[in-house]
Amino acid sequence: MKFKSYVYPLSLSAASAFLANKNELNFLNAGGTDLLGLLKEDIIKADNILNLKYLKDLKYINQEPSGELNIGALTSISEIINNVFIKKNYNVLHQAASQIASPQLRNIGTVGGNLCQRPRCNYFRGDFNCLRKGGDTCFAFDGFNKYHCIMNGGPCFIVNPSDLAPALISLGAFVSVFSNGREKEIPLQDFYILPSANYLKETILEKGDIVTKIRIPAQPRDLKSNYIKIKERETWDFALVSLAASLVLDGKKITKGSLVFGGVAPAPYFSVKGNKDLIGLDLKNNKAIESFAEAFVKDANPLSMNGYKAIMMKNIIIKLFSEII
Amino acid sequence: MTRKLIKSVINIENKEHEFIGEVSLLEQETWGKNDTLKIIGKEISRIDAVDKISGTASYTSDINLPGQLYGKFLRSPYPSAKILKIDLSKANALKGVKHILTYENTAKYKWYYETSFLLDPIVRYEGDEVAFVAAESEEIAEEALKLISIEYAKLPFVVDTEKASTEKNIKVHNWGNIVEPSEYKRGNIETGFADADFTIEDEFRTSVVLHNPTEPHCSVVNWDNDELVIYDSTQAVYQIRELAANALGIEQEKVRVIKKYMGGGFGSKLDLGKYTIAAAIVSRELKKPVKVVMDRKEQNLCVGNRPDSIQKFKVGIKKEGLLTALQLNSMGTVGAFPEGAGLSWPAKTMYKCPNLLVNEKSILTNAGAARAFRAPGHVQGIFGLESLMDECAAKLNMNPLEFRLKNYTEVDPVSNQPYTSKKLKEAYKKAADLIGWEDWKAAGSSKSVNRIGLGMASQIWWGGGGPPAHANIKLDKKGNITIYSGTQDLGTGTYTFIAMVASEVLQIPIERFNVVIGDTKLCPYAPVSGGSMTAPSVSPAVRDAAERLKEKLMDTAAILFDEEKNSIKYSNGFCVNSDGSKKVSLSEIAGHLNEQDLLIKGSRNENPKGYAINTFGAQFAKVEVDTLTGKVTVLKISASYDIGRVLNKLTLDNQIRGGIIMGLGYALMEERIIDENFGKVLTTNLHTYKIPTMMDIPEIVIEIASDYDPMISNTGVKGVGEPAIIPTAAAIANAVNNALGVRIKSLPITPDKVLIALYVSK
Repeated sequence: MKFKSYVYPLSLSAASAFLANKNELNFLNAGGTDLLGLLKEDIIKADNILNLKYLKDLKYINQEPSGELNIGALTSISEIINNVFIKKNYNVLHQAASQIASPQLRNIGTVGGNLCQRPRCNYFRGDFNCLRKGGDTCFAFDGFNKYHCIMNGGPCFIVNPSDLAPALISLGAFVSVFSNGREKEIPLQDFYILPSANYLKETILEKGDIVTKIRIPAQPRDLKSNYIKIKERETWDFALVSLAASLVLDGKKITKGSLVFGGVAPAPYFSVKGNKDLIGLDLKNNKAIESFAEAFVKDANPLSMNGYKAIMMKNIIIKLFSEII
Repeated sequence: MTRKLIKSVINIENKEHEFIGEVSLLEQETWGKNDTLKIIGKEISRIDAVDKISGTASYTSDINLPGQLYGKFLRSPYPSAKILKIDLSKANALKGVKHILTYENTAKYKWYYETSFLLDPIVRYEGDEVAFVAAESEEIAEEALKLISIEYAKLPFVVDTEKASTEKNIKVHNWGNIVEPSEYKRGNIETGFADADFTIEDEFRTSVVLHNPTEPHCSVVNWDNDELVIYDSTQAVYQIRELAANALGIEQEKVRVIKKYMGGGFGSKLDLGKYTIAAAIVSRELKKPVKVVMDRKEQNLCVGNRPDSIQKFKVGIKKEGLLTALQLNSMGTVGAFPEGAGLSWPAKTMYKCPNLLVNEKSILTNAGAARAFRAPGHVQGIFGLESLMDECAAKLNMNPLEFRLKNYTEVDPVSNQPYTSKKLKEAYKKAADLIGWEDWKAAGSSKSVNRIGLGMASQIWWGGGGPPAHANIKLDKKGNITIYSGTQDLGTGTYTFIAMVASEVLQIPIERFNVVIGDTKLCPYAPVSGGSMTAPSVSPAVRDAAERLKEKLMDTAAILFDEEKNSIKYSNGFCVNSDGSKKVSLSEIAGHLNEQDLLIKGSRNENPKGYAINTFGAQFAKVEVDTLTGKVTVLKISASYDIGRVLNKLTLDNQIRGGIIMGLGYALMEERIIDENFGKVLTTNLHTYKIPTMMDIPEIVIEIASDYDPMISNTGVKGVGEPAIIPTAAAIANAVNNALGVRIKSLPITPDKVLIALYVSK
């Protein structure tokens, strides 16, 4: 792990300007839980590292009078978990944050870092010059692909590892990006890109761009939300499949809502049609739930070792509905 | 005569080892039950606890010698290749690089039972050693590795066990891919199957798993004139002394091996490391100390593993539940160099079964070589056997415990010898009561989403220890006592039990004892810490030495008091004369004597002839399986054992818990994964190689079924390190089957396997 300099920018614009240098490979350290691993294992090469810890303005959780919630990108995962307002009103976000990594990693890891983390594919992380690292082959395709995607894959078959992203997208969150001296806001669901569009990066971020803020619009008072994460061990493990749901019910009937999956696609996965079919679904009607869940899995296109994820995806919908009522 | 020389045969990790050694005649009777003793069997904090908790404890990787260099291996990125060309020019030009060993400039030190060399132009697995760099810092050494240019000719490779077993064209060594096939027969298998009312055939599989001790493998070596001093993170100081001397072609007496504290080994630190010898070669050449510490990736690639297994069983049973015949064909991969992947001892010895036929093969593949791993063979073997026994019980609609009791054996079925002690029935009862076995229902009784299951498994292991094992005890003029023994503490509490045993005999507090172990120059011989033989071998030698010291103190007091020896009473560190008018302390007596006279040797006695010595036990598991997610949650494990006498209840419980947690990892998540297209390991860190975390650990309850073994030694102790892990995975797997009514026949039982099995069974 060698680089020219380790920089502590004192302003966002200074950080952005440094980062944008076309002749150098510069990386942000917003907590470092992913970055240090990437550097240590020689997955990425860096000229300079920019540690953002002095950008104190990016560390906040603000509840606005309008009911909106704004979260600074440098807010730690632990701060999300410990926020009473979030715990009370955004269970899905609280649950997702609580299941990230381990307590130590949650103390140091940040919201912005969580949204921008690189994939955990064994080949990307290993001693393989894979497609995503500039090579010409995805080795998972006919290799060990138990943890890879069953939706929207190709030519690379990673899954997005973030737990926060599905939760936030289910809440209709927006992300702000500081770019070329000004801040722009986009829906979080548009922040991620699929390998079919560009297999060298996972987000729309361009050189010099910095994630600054998450905005969660005001939610209905009677929002019922939850996050279920299926993993192989209880802590410090990424999702095999996860599901974030933010729903409004009238009795047992869904009147509004959104389901977003983790662990099944290169980006957080949701289905426009699926979320439309959600409206009117009666959670007392097991048959209707079954066929609704079945419909979600129809588009699955498993690889040799991850067919179980299709079963898991269907089951997790049933599990979440049974737990939310 | 208080001692004699004997030939002793001990089974360590599935291999018989023969020693000629001196033993003490068993002069002291075995102690009574622990409740008649003052300190043995109690919960005693480790005497090294403060040292460890405060951070002052010095582990091998903490050792730094003045002027030391740092060594690092360049390792093959390919599973099979021939080195065509080595270019060291850039690396040698790097400032701070002091020496680089390659096969071109290094003598042919034989390795892996003479099937390879320390540095070999043929590399046979990803991680195989190619070059060794010694530099002024670890960072420079790492930088130098990147500057070495190697031209390889890639060769065909095979990493799949089954494929390698039948592969004709791709050979790991030119002599083939199969090591030591073995056959065992008892009775007549055909008759046995003909006698059966039912036969069942099934296949069970387990994965390659890795030791991953907390402290990495490491050595710091230095030549002190012609004496080689090796600080090594090892389970076997004397064995490392012998192996290192042999490797370097020097006298054993010229090698001193030291190991004070260690952060776990689990069998992977019984062998001599290539890093130790490479460091010794460079150190001799440059006349500087050399330190080598493996990193986590090396831990996961190059320092051993538990072979996988494919176990094909056929079993014959009578309607009333008796086994009539058992056939087992098994294979497992030992990696790229000869080792053993046998797993049949449980099948041969756990139950009474008159007719047996076992065929086993160890298969070579282009992967890191196997090493002994906590109960080698038994952990795999018990999973297969005990899964099968559950299937037998289910076939007969019988409670699994009742089925096992029907086939209980009071003699060792291989030798037909009686056991020195076997309290497995008692262990079954205790562990069953602790889990609530009376609630057991037939498999698949529950149809709910979250299903509870109960399962059990038995275990057998050796663990009786034996000679030669010695301990010296020395009393100084202030009454401080030092005990020396060439054993070692793996983190399991050896220091503490040695002090406890001496304290029990001499009736003075354990703080008065200084324990020196893990140093071949200071300490008399004791065996490797493998095979669960440390406490059963060493504790009797310590007691022997302490008893002899006590005798000597009483002899001296008799002279001081001018009385007959048999009128002297010894109590709490004092000798008292017949009418109680005269009293002299242990340190006062020491003051009257020349200190050298008070260095006394104690030895382990010979094991009784004509008996089998084994440990026994059972674990019961209660699990919950979520049929929607496939996730298995272990709610509770109960464990009960016949391990002879408990020395220290605290460290005993620690060791059993540790074994259960490791067994849980084996059952549910641990697995070395190799990409078959490239022959490269994908799980090379502790994130991808999943070991259990705190959150995965269930309630664990432990009760010991034995008081002491009445025949084996003056302490009656048997080992527990390996018994602790043996039945866990089988008990969990049986509980999962009980919950689901569907059996998962390969480990680890991950959510994907559970969901697929449920899907298929619909």
